[in-house]
Amino acid sequence: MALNERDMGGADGNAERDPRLERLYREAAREGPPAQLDAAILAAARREVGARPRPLSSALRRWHVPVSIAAVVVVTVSLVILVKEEGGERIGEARVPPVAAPADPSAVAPTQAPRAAAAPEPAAEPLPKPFLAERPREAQERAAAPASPGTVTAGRPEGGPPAHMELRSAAPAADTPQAKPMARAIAAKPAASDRPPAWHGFEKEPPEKWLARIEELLRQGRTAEAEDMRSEFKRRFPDHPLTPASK
Amino acid sequence: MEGTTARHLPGGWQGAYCQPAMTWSAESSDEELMLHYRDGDAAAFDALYARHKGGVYRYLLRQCRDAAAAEEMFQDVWMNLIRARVGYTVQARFATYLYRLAHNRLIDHYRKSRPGAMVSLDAEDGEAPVDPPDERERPQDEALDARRQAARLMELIAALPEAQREAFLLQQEGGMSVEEIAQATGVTRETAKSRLRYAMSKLRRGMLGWR
Repeated sequence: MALNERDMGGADGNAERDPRLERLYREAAREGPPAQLDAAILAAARREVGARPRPLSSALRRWHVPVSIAAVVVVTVSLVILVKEEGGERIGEARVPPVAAPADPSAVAPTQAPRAAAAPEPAAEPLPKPFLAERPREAQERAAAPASPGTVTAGRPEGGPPAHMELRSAAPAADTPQAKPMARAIAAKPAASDRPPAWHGFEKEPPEKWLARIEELLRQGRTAEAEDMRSEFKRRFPDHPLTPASK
Repeated sequence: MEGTTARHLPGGWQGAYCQPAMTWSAESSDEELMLHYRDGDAAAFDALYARHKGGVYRYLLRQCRDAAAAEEMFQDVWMNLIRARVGYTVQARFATYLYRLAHNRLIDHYRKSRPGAMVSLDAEDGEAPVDPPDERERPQDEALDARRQAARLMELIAALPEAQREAFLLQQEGGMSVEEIAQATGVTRETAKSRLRYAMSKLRRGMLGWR
């Protein structure tokens, strides 16, 4: 094969291309990488595809941001609803009157025991303020009376929870079945104040009848009414002595 | 020749596009194959590798003239390509991108193997002496076989300055235009063109009289 300047492009041809020289080079250059190198590279390429997650498809890429925003909104709304519900419950708890059960059931006055058996009212002994306000005498008596077995004190039972815990400890009790009648009784109490006094109808009766009635009320365990009538009796008949049974 | 990459895009490189076709075939462009590989198709990489492995290997071998070093660099280049697959987008012809990786790896090799020397391929654009044809080896008849011509050409290529040799190899092995050579080697178009001209001129002169 003869090669000369004209055949290989020469000064007249394209100085950067030379077809015959290029053909000669292509025939000469045949080296290649070793087969094991090929295998290693191809295996690495397959590993790379298998090991790493595929890039997001265009559809996924398109929905990535809206789906993320929607997820954030759902979580936020759920949290807000949850917080609102919990907050409402706590507010409701705070409004429930502080009702503390006596630490010792024996501390309940024996005269009230029969009534307690008839209705579960005694559990509400520390009564809510409005109710106590309507029965100032009872409250005063409780406050004045020394803490002794057989009497119920307005104070916290010894060993009971601290004051700041009373609200919380009493609140669940309001939800119990036993507490529900109590709540009804508490609700009914203000209506009772509209009732006539215990001594109603005895205005024109002699002192003996008053005393007999007071004794009867005490026997029936209606101490509040008996006390009420006794006070009125003292006011009306200050010089008349009380019988032992009516004291 | 295996490493001589044909232009797979009709009419040559026509610019960037980002989405590969649904399937690929032997006629698919390099860029399409790489996009398929990016999206998880390992077989597309096999096809791509088959197209370019010879060219990249010979480019590295002729530049460093050390088979062991060439193999090491060859593996590094392809591993770099594999690692970069997820972020691959079509910015230029794939061959330009691939040979750019090879060029950079070669520069690293020069820096390590010649720590005291300035690594620059720009200082050799002038006429470097090329061994004149050896009159004693000159064939005396028309029956000279192609092997001896090829051996002579290889000698001449090896004697070229690095920058000119690189330009020639990128043209022959990568099928690259002057512009693409400039892009792959990080020089201006004029510089790349000048290197290619010098290389061709020297090779032509070195082969004169071989008839």
